[in-house]
Amino acid sequence: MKHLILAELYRMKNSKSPLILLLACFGLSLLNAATSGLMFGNAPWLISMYEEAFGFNPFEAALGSGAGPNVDSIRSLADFISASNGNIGIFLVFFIAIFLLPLRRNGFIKNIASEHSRSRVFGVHALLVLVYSFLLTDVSAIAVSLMSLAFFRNLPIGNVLDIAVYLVVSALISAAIGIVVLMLTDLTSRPISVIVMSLIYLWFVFPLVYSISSVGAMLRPNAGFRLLYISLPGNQVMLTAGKWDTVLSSLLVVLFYVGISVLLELTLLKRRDRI
Amino acid sequence: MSYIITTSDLTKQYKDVTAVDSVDLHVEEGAVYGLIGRNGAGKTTILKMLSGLAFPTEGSISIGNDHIRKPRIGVLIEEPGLYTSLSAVKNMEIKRIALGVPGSEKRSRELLEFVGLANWADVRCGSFSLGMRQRLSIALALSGDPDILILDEPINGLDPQGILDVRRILMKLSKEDGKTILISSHLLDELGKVATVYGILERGHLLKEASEEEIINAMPGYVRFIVDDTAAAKTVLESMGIYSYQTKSEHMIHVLEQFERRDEMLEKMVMAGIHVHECQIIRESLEQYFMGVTRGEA
Repeated sequence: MKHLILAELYRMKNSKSPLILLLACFGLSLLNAATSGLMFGNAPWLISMYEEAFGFNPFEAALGSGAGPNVDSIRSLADFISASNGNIGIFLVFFIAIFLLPLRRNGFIKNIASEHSRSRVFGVHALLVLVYSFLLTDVSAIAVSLMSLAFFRNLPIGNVLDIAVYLVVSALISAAIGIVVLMLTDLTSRPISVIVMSLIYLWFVFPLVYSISSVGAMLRPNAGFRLLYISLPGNQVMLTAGKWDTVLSSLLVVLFYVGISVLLELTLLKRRDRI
Repeated sequence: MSYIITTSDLTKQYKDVTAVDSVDLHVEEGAVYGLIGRNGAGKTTILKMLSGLAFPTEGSISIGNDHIRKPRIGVLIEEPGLYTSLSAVKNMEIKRIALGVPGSEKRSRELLEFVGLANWADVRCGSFSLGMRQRLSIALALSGDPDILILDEPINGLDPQGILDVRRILMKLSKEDGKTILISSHLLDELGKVATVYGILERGHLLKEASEEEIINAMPGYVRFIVDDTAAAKTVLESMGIYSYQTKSEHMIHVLEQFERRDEMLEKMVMAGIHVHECQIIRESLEQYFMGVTRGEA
């Protein structure tokens, strides 16, 4: 298994698609961070540039005077990274679709690796998802940190341990999303439909349900809109650097989903290995 | 030489279909074993079970002998699984690392040279022709320096040059390196040029296992004479007690079987003053032999 992992890491290093996805993640994280910067930050140079050129404050125009930049909510880089949390899970689904799926359907367990144990192949690929999740999270954090320079002057880094824990847990949540998707592609004979459904869920359905839930929570704070907190993307959004209750809850949810996926895979693939 | 692969009662059932039915296979070390059979005869299923890529429903497989207790196996089953966006040498490296073979890129390049792809080592293999892909697949199967090479239809879809290239590689591996090669194909005449032992499969059953020599001796055929006087030739044959002949034309006679009396027939004809222009043993092809076996004639 060690050799298989090394071989797959070699392939990842030498292939273009993981690199392209990392660049795309970097770009999207910049955009996310810019949106967060507009929402929460103050960029005096940008505001004055706009006011000089167009004669109005772009933040007030775009967000309304009541929803202008909220400087107080971003006290450190840790806060900004939490606020600019992008959906790394989407990139992991693309990674699985482009980099792993063709191989799981063809070749890998036959000619290339001569590996007949599908459970072992799942293990290797789950590990690859984890490694790639950490790469994506780091790239995203770098993009957000760079963008923070544009919106905030002298923004303190904050508690380094908080940032580190946040990044690790965030990467684990994303990896868990990837592992669930990986498991679902093994459950069905049409794995591409799992990929499409996952993307639709992460891109459209989850944000929509989350927004509705948030509005509901604002309107009736005691009604208990907690359903999304048991989902992986829900915990991704909820996770905040320095808030240990969100860290703990995320870790529990990750453990639950990964545990279920591994259990299902082992049962399913062990049976398939006997065919 | 002892057997390096044996199977006993090997059976594979897919729901209601019995793909392989009680097959007892015997492959000698160093042999080129040709598995022949129609599509769906069970060739690929047997090779998959031998490679560990499928699990037998019943029966057992034994791989290894006193000489090589745990032989390494190189496999090429069905279509080659290549990373088409990567170069040939990168494909080789991935396989080498996956198998845990120590060494460096140099070894991968040597293997590419062996299969005639040295000049293409750094080219993306997605641009390779089918023949080149097949050669690369053989190089990949050789990555772990296997004692046994299992190849499923390695010449399928290749052009004549590609077939020739693969044949040369297989001959070299068998004759020079002494590898045991298990190869399936339905291109029987081509297989006949490399295989030393054959297993004939039909609907999951192993009908016959025979060496090249046994098959040649069992193949029906005739001795073809081209002479100036067929009437005189017939008189000579009848004087020898040979009546199983056919006059094919004014100058051509086919004497059925009687291969071992060819020289005697030739001598008698020459002594009778007949001009013999040709005297040749013509045997049926492996294809015709296979058809005979599957019809229950051999």
